[in-house]
Amino acid sequence: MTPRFPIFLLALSSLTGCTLTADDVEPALPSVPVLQTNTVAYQLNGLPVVAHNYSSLISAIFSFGSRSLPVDGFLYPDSTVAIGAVDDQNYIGAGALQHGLEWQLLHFRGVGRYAVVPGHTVFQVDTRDAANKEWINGPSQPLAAQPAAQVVVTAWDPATQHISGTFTMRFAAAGSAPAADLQDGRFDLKLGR
Amino acid sequence: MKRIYYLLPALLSSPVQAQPTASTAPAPFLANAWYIGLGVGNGAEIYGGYHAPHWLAYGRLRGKWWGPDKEPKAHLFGDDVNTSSRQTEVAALLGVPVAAGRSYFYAAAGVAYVSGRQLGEYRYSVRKSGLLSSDATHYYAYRDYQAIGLPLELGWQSAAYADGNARFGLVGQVNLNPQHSVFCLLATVSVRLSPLRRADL
Repeated sequence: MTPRFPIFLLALSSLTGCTLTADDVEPALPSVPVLQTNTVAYQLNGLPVVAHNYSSLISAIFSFGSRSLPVDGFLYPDSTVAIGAVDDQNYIGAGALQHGLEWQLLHFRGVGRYAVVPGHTVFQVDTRDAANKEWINGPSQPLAAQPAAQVVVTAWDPATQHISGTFTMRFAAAGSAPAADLQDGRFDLKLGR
Repeated sequence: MKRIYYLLPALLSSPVQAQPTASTAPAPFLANAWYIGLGVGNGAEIYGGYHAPHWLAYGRLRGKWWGPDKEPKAHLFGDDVNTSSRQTEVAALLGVPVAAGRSYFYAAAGVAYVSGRQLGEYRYSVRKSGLLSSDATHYYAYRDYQAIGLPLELGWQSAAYADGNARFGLVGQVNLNPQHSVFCLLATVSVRLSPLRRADL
């Protein structure tokens, strides 16, 4: 190797090593419904959260039929609609997060804009412990007073109980849990009775 | 006028022209010639350049792909990820060969443009219903980038085969850049295209 080679290297290193462009990209929320199953998806403080139903023979056997659906909703005789969603299909490792969201609409009449019921609309984030053994339940976060939560039902089929729509909500900080800003929310599911 | 024969099909189907050498001087271990090659390992590259007895100059196009560092990852029959980390490099290098019998080692450095994607934090999964399992696609945040990097390469090239037209080799490559430095170990095969004819020099 000639003695000029290190000088050549030094000159090159001074000319190189610069970033031209760098863009951080978050995965987009999926269009709903995901895989034709009950789905609730939203941006939580700018990060995507996706909850939807899925099943396998193995999970059915091990749960002995007791497994509740990750995304489920009901239309009660008094015209109250209750919807709940947990993103339990995510990978579970130490420090993993699981997001639970429930809301209720009163006087349901089909397509239209609704206010949610504050006392029955809550958000909770559970954290997997460091040993990856169990979930540590986060505090139940109440709906923030401002801005007002909005749910818009964009489609409703009384025959099939199929409901879909969009929402935005903000939940107040509680304990160690920071305020949760839910934007670009979307849901698509079949309600039970 | 200098002429260089570089059309591969014509060259591979025609005999290599013998270089006239002075009877008193030993033939250089590395003759003047254009060459191209392929490399495969934890990446894949095509390259081509020119080598002379005491230097070599070449360019390469290399791609490398890899998955997340930790779970959740893609699996052969099961889970998938929304995208992989990857880096494409276009580099121009200058190097110095050192003879080792009929083979040779070389070191090279240059300048490179890289375009890549680097997976970041895991975000969420979409899981399919299945009879026995629920395979998932795991979605990651990522960074798209372009950068100028410093490519370094150490390589070994075998003695020439096929009437002096082909060499096999092993190369270690590093691209140092501010976004994501990459190391590749590749097995290569190169084909000499044509020597410069003494009459053209």
